[in-house]
Amino acid sequence: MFSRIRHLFALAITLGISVCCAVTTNLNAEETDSGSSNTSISGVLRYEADSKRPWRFGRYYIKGKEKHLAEAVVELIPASEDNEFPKETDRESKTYLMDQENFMFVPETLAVQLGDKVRFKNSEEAFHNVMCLDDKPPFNVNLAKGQEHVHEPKVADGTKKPLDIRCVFHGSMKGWLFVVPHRHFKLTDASGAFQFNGFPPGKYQLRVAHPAGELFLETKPRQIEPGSSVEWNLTLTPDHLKQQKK
Amino acid sequence: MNPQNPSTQTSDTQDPLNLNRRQAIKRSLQWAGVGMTLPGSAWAAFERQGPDEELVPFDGAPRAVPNRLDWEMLNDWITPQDQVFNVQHYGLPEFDASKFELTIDGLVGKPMKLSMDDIRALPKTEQPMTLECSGNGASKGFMNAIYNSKWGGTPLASLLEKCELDSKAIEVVFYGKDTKEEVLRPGTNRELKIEVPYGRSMTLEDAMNLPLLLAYERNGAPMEYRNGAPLRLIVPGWYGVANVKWLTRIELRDRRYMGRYMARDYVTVRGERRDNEDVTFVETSVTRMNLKSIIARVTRRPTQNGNVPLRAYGAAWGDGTKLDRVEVKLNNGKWQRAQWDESIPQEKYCWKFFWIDLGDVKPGEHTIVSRAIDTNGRIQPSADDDEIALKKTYWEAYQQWPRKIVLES
Repeated sequence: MFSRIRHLFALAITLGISVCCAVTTNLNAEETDSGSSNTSISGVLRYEADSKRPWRFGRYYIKGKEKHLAEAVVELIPASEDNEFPKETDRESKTYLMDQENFMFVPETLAVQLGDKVRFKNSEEAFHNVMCLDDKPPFNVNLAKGQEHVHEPKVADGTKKPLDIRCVFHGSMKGWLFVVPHRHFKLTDASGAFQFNGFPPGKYQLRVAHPAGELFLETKPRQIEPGSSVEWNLTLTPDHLKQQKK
Repeated sequence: MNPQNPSTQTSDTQDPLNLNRRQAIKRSLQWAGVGMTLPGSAWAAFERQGPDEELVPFDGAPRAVPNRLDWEMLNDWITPQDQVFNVQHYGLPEFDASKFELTIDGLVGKPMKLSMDDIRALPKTEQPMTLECSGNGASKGFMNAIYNSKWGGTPLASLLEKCELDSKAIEVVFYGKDTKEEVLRPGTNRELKIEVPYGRSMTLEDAMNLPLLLAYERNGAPMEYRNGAPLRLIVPGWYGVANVKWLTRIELRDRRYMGRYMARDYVTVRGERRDNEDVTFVETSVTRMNLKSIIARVTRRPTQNGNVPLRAYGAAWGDGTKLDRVEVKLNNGKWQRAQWDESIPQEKYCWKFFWIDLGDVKPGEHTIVSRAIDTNGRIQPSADDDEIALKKTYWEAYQQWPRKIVLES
């Protein structure tokens, strides 16, 4: 059964995908040598619903009148070989918490950089478990109230595929752990906002994944000039729901 | 449909899914404004809910998940496939569906071996039924494992009669294609490992008197593999565990079958209070569904004079015993009688929907709970009642389920 669950989020890259986005570019007058110190991309994720193609879980993630999309992961993707992100050495590892409360993983979705750790904790009376068969090695640990399990994920497929996190005792408990091999990613909050700084200028794509909706979007490549501040807003629609794809 | 004359429909009757299309269209238009229209059958769930009603989320309830009923979004009396739960105990069996056969043997004069083509050639009947997992509602961690379907297939009783039942037969055992190694008395010097098929049983009397179905369709379409295709036993009024998937053998026996899922698992252990107040524990196999109801959703209208007009919707079901009424209580108030939703089919083995106006309520925290009452006078118990409080296993979780909301002004 778990093998079926594990593949809920199959990759569906569609280059040239129709993206309802407003893209504006503000080029700074001053450019630095490297161009990376003040080059930035910022934007807001929105979800435009269609009553004929409902996303029933959208009620948890679509926020406010502006329909901001929360709990989505946005990743900056180099679109040419000459602007691959440099490997980060000597980076201080961070530890993130994924708690178990009210028969849910909290947060349900977490995005970490490769090398970071996740602290799984059970904060309620019910006896829980945390299991992930996607990572190498997989893990499967029982957690009584107050117990923790710290894990450093090794499989880093970024927004292509999160690690499925489950509790074997409670099938409705689900979590998703995105492990990104670089630092240019953002888990959105209720504002739907994201921002990337400190990357070298070049050609980039944005990739968006929302595991609860099996939403997936990959933009066309875009040239980011040195020192520019690019506003890159994205609107997802039911076209980006996996269940709508044929 | 007449609630006094429910249960099965033969295939030459009018297809219920083609009825009442106007209601469905109306319902779709109502939801269109909030982006929740779903394609489905003709019967809108919670038909009375108007476009001016806003859902009040339940406080402290886990989020809805795929493959579980989503009460707050359900808009069809027939449950959409993406809200249908699946449980299997011995995994998903691998087999060649084109060579699938059903064997009927044991204490019969004429054993049978039937291909799916043979079964499809038999008289076809449709059986509407609400199927609930007996663990549904045992905790917040296992909620909404229930769905309503119209199963299509051939009745079992007439087929058994054709097999010429031996007079010594008292038990009918149903085996699935799924098998697993079971370990008895593990860790002892009498440990025994045996490879067994998934099995459930019932008395011959039950098998002949309940409208059992050998089903190969769900909602007019071929059944999905994970739902038990190509052939599934459908047992109206019994918990999901009795509805054996991938049904491949039916055996008539002269003694009770004691397979794991009859005699070791899915056994309810319950304390029963005797006259002298001593508690005696009794173990019974999980079979018939219990009387149950739940508040499915709560809606509000705009605040008027500082108070919020509040309405609750819900569902009730059981083992086929006729439901008399549902009562709803707000906080510590009196039980109030809810209204049945008469716009949906009133089928014997299917859930019924209800609604109730709870009046103008002050903003703040509130608790709403329902209880179903059948025509025998049986009342759905609360968690504090002995039959629930003294139950030591989680199956048969039919206690009242209080729902909390926080009303904003």
